[in-house]
Amino acid sequence: MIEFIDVSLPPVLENFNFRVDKGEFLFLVGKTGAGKTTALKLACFKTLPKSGEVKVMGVSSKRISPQNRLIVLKKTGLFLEQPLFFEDASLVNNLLYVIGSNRSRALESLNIVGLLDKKDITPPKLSRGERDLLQIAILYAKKPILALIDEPTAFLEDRKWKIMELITELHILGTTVFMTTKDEEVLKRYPYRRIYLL
Amino acid sequence: MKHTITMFLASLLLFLCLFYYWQKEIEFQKQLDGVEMRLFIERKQDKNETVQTITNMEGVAKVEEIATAEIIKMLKDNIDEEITLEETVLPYVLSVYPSNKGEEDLKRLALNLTKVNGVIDVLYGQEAVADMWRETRGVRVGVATANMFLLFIFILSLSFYINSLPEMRHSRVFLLHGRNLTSLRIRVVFRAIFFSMVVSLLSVGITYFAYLYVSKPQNSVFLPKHWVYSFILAMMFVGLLTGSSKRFPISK
Repeated sequence: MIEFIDVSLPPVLENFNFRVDKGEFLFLVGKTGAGKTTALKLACFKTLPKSGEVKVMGVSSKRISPQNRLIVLKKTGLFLEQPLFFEDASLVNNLLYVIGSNRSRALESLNIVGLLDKKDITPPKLSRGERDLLQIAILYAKKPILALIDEPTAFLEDRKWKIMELITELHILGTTVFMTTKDEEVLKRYPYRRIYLL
Repeated sequence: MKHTITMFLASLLLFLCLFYYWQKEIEFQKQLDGVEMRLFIERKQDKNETVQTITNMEGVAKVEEIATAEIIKMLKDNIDEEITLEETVLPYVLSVYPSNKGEEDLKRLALNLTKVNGVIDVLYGQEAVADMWRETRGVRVGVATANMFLLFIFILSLSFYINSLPEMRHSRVFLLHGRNLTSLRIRVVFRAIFFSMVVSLLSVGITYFAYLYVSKPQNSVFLPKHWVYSFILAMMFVGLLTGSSKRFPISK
């Protein structure tokens, strides 16, 4: 699903190699500034490597074009530390803009994360934790082949396990998950394969 | 909001310039329609033959003879002293109406007329015609320059207006989820065209009502309909071009 071959992007990454297989859940572990988010950006071609090659769903960074970047992003779900929403649209419309016209799926996804009662409000009215739940709702609605998740528990002590439960559920439903974290508790509780960035 | 107001003001002023230009053109055309040449012809000359020659000349629309009695009356009206005029010593006078009234056309025609046998003099208010054309050229250049400037302001404010549309912000989120931007682009272009149309219609409407109720015109024409339609269509076309040339911000 994802393959990094001798990827270098100074100053954070140097000859970085790993792969994530289809259906796998992989933790990328490292301290702040170790290059976790950079690796995630490389995995969705938001950033391109200085040298080496990144392959995602068969698309290579060496032959990347706006068109096949869109193809990869269409099949990928993103969970970002600083999410981007349609700030002037309701929560349900936020989901509909992403997935198209399937309203029942959008409502079902909001229900799964517990935001159904807030479906008509706009994202600026949500708390930080609720904004993260909205990101998860979008992942559920989008049903991506690959989920790239950037430190989902970094600022959420109270909702951390709910978020992790939802991500695990998504993985069980068939999504390949590539998640960055430095949360030791999460790593202890979830025995998925992990690679460390030093 | 300020871009919307700027757009509207630019459009209104643009239309007012056109309106002003049209009114000046009508006035100018009326003045040109009155342009005629007076030809003085020796009495010994065959009058009918001369009239025929002049009528057949290029650039002549119509030739009329002015009766000698009328000439005498005009002369008497203009001269204070009591004089006695004999018809036989006065030249024939013809009024020649030119078909082309450009400054150079008139000069050329006057020159050609002086070459006709028996023509003593040709008078047509050369300086007045030159002044008229000079003023008209000034108005045309002034209006064209003002319109170019106002169009630039209009495009600039339309561009800022488009940048403030939610679609421009949405594009980053669309890209993030791998969605094609075609639908957003269509909406942006449609909005730009629609907004240009609304602003131009308002400009036409306000100018029209001002024309009706402020100047209270009688027997005059506002602007030909095809000018009004062309103005609205041109503004919509500017909206189309500006909207379709917009690039979405690239997702960072």
